[in-house]
Amino acid sequence: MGLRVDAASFAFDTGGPTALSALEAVSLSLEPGRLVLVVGETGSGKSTLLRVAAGLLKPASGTVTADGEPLGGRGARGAVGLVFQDAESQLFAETVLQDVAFGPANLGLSADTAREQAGLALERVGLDPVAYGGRSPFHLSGGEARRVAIAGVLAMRPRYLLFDEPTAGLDARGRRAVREIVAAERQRGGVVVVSHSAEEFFDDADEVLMLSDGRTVFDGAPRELLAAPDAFEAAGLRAPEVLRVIELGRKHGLVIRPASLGSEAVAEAIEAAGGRS
Amino acid sequence: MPAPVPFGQYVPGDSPVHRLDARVKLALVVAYTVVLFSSRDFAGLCAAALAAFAAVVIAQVPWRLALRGLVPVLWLLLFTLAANTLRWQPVASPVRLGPLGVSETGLVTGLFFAMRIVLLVVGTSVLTLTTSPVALTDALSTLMGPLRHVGVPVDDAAMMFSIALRFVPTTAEEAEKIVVAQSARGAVFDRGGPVTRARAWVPVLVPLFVNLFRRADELAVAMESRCYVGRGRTRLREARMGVGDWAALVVGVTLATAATILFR
Repeated sequence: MGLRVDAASFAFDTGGPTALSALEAVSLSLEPGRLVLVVGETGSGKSTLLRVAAGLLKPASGTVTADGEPLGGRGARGAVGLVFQDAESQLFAETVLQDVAFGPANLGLSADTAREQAGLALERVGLDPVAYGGRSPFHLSGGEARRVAIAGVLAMRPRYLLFDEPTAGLDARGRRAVREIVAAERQRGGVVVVSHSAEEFFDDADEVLMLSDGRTVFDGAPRELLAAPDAFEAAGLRAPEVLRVIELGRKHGLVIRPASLGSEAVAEAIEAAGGRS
Repeated sequence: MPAPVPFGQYVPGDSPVHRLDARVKLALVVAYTVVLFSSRDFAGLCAAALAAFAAVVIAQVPWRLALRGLVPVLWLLLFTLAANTLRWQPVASPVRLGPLGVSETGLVTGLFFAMRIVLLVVGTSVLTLTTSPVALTDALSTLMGPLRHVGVPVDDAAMMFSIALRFVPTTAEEAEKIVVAQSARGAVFDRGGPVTRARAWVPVLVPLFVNLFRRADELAVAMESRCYVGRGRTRLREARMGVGDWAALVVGVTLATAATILFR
């Protein structure tokens, strides 16, 4: 069960003069209730991996299945929802409700059901369907528009949700709202979050998949990164603050063993390690 | 300050024209166009002008919006007038412009064709100003429905039409941003001859088209990811023709048929 990408490879413009290998035998496994954080610098293949995992790109080799069904098959239609980077620029309908109901309508649901699912999806992203449903998606703030775009995907009731840079370009309030949505959706199904910065969802992640030049350079629990402090640098990324603090402590002879990688747990571990002056 | 309304953008309202079923409005616009193109003299065009005037008044659409659509076709209007009016060394012409003479018959013909273009633009503007893109898409999709049986991608065509209309203001806004950005970098658009001015727009048009293609590509993938395949979609609003819609259709088509027969 779960969403599985097994040894997927993908190249753009295969055989052409601008052929570019974007993924090389990358695997991803997502179980319900779990959050996988995919990190990597620009051009590392993160977004391509999401499109392959959502069934939008067919891998040259490897397989993609959702609960055992190959993606693209009837049973898997709508099983995976993808929230694109800069998703709000893809809103196009006349009203917020019509835009959110676009997916359910594509699934052939009746008008009443589509409307109901759209309303519930708006509630799930913290927007009142009555107040927002009739508004134009072009007259919303950046954070509101992003939430509407996410609602458009949630309305299809996917079992697995993929977010591509969900907080990019948002202010602090917008980022917090999106983080809350991601945390809530994780309770309903599996979530994959792609980010070029490891900082934002690192605390919440069950698994970190690090990509560099289309290849997997790390795949494991965030805690395992404690034993591989140079992994981020090797992938051209800045390590999350908590890992940097732990690594700095180690260099200064302070052995910090936090129960989790949350900032509070790390602070307690520093205190326990004798870091209190 | 409210954003300017570009040509063709829907202006929400609650006039009888706004409330009319989009299929009826489309059918009436087609009938109106038939009258325009079948009329052989000014009497037919005057009848059409009366209909267009009545539509604008009943729709309570500001005249500046109804006439705004004429701006892009201004050159076409001038060309139509000039091409019909000016003659190379006419035998007898009271007014001369160097080697060119003004033909009175040509002037009348030019005015006739120009008036036809003006009325066509105003009529179609009333349709797009009073009908939301979604309603228009649904209407097009319904009216063109039978073509599905011969393999015409009706739903895709209707969706493309709707999205094209929806993105007119976004594209205008984007073009404006690029103009401002290029002006800040020293670009000048209002100096020099026609060739220099045309060249000055290259730094605007190139990024504008690149952005449009990128946006189109992203939107297509985003729609696909939300299971859009063109067929088998349901609609949030099932349009039903009311008594008023039927009455408007019957009266409008009857008048148009009468005008076509009378003025052809």
